[in-house]
Amino acid sequence: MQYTLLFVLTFFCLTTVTVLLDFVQQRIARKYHSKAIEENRTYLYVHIFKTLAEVALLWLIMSFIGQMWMGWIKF
Amino acid sequence: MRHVAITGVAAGLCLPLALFAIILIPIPGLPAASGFWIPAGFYFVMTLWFGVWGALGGHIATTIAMGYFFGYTLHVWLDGGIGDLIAPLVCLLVFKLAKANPELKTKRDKVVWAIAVPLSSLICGLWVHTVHLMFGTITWPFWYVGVLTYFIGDSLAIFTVGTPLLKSLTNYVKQSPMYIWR
Repeated sequence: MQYTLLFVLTFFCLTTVTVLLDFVQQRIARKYHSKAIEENRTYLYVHIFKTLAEVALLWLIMSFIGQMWMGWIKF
Repeated sequence: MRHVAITGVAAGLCLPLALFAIILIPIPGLPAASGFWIPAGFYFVMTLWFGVWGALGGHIATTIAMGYFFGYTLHVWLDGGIGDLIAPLVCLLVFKLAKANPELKTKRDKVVWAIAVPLSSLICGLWVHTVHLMFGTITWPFWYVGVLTYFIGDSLAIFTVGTPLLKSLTNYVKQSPMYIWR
């Protein structure tokens, strides 16, 4: 395995784990979110757009792996 | 100002997604088409939450992604971009007419969502490929392929991404003063 591929895959794995852990954390802390939103409205937008960006990030990782699989990106 | 921010965030999110959707799953013979139009999942949801401002974000993103990065003619830029503006607004209109709730809690809301998404995708496909055909960008057999691709590819992406986003985040978004369902 080439060093670039190793680095990219490690980065993708850590990013995916971080995003999934954040989803779990959001689920656990659901009742605290409402309290935080009541105190500071900005929190609401940060929460929503962060989640949207995380889903987009997962998709981009999948699309990159898909392109490697199809042979369009080579290492 | 906050509405402009919503449009900006929607555009920023959808831009890379549109770009890589065209690169990853291109449809041979059809300019700027993708078999899995993932940004639609995002701008449909943001349109159901924030109205035309969310749709505008998707429109800006897809127009730039299709036009600037791929070097298409102005007609292809605008045709696809306007199609992507029309589609989420049709979905919003269906929701408004049916008085459905984007939280998708009841069976009725889910049925409206299941009808509105394919209908919007079909209208988008009909618009984009009929204009392409009239301008001579595509030939007649590709019109069918294009409409079918948009109908299936857009709908699949919107159901895959949009449904969990609506179900999980609408509960928070409805606390925003910019949420349109009051």
